[in-house]
This record gives sequence, structure tokens and C-alpha cells, in this order.
Amino acid sequence: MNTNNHLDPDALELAHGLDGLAQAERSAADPGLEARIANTTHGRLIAARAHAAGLSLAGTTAAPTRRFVPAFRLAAGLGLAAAVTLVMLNRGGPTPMPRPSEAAWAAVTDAEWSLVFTETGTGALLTDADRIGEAMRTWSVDDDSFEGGAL
Amino acid sequence: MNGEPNSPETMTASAPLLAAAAAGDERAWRALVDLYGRRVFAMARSRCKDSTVAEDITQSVFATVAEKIGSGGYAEQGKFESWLFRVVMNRVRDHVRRLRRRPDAPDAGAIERHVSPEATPTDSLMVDRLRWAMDQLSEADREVVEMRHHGGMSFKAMADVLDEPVGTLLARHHRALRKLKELLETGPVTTGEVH
Repeated sequence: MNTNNHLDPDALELAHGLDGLAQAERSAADPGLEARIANTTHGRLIAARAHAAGLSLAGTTAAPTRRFVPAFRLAAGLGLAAAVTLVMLNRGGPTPMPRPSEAAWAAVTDAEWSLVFTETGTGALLTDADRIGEAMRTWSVDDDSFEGGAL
Repeated sequence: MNGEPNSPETMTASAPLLAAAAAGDERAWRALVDLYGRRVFAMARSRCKDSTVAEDITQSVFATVAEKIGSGGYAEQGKFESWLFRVVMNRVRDHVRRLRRRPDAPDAGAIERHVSPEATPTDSLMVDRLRWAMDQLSEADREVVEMRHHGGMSFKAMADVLDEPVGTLLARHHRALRKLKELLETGPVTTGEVH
């Protein structure tokens, strides 16, 4: 019954022997195997069902709301864009950002630049960048750290 | 009630049983375990050669199945058997891998050659020799033999589990049987060597 139909008689006999071995393995279980397995696992099935039912009940109120959220967002976005456009049209187009002229840049003194660097910490950042650059220039190509990498 | 492997009854009975079990019907769940329990056990025992461990694996497999069908995580498409035995194969492979990783375990070959202390005098000589010969097969050949004979699976279901064409598995099964025959002709003859 448990054979490959394309088997030759020798292999067929062996296949029957393997069916016998399989039967011996099945019979090696302690009596009541199925009852023990069913008893210990049915609770899991019920728990999983209850869990899934809980999730879907919780989901029934949330799902419709979630389904409309993207539509509301889109409507709000379009409304906002329309309002901004109206305001800009009423003002005669977007207000241009003031840009300093070349002469104004040239007029900034070194003292004023240094004040900007001190206030924003940009100066310290540039100093660190200089240090790192200097350190990289002094690295040797034969450095051991290159050996273990993908190089 | 242990589920006749490969019988049409087994193949067709599982779908309504699954539906009823998934709905919480305890009798349906018991019938499902009756149908497949021994086959799962036989596959596990063929590898671990220990009934207690085989029962633990069987229980773990059915716990997974219970959780999946209870939570609706399994959609019946006529491939329950393939899915079930995929879980079994993964569990058995995990078990064998765990044994091999254990520092105090003997070498992997020795684990697989270990002969069960549970072997009874009623075991036939042929069965003992076949157990020994099975241990000599390659992993791929052994899996096919175990799925076919211990699991009682159809070649179609095996093809689903192993993701191989049916023709390939038919050929592998035939090759495995030939190899087993050679082993039986040249290997240990006495039960003493096997036990």
C-alpha cells in the first residue's frame, strides 16, 4: 500500500520491509499517545481562538475609523494648500526672501565673523575638522588596521 | 484509529475535521490527532530513537498546529498534510542540530547510530537491520524514505514539503531503496552488531 509504483520487485520487497519498520516505530509509543497529545494541546487551540477573537473584536471598532484616516488627511492637505494659494494670490504672489548683495557680504568684518563662530559653535567644529584632516594625512598606508578589512 | 497512511479516507477526512477543530470542537481535534499522531511520532522516533523525546516532539508539533488553526493562521487549501509534515521535519532537524551542538554529546554519527534500549526481542531481524541501514543513508535520501514510509505521505505532499518535483522524489526514493538493499547485503548480519 505504501509503495512507489515504479519500483522493481527487489525494491518493492524492501519498501514493504520499510513499511514494517515504520509500523514498529509507531507501535513504540506508550499506550494512550493520542489522548495525551490531544489533552495537552486542545487548551492551546482554545486559547488561540480566544486570543484571535479578542483581537478581532477590538479591531471591529478601530478598523472603520482607520479606513477613513487617509481620506481625511488628503482633504485637510488639499484645504490647507488651497488656503495658502488664496492668501498668496491676494498678496500678488509669494513674498521674495531678502538676499544680501555682494557689497553687503564684503562689508562684514572679521570681528563680526568671529562673533558668529563663537555664538553658534561653528568655529569649534571647523577646528575639529582641521584636526581630523591633519590626523588622516599622517596615517601610513601600511597601517595594520587595513589588513583585516575588505581591502 | 491511528490513521491509515495515504488512504483516501485520511486525505479527505482532514478538511472537515480541521474546520470543526478550528471552531473549537474537541472531538474533531482528537480525531485529527488520532489521524496523524502516530505518523508524526514515527518520524520523530526514527531520528531520535527515544520514545520520550519522540513524544515531546510530537506534542510540540501539535501545539504549533493547535495555535495556528485556533488563531486562524492556517488557511485550509488541501495542503494540511504538507504543512503538518513541514513542521515535523523542521522540529526533527532542530532536534538533531541541537544534539550535534551539545558539547557533551558524542559525535553526530554516533548519535544517529545509537541503538534504542527499547528495542524488544519481538523486533524482527529485518527491522533491526533496516534501522542500521537507514542510519547509513545520506540526509536527503533518509528524509525521503522517512516521509514516505514513516510519515505515510504521498509523493505529491512530499514534493510540497521539500519543494522538489515529484519525479525527482520518485527517483530519489528508488535510489535510496537500492542503497538500502546494497547496505543490507554488505552490512552487519547479526542482531548483536545492530543492538
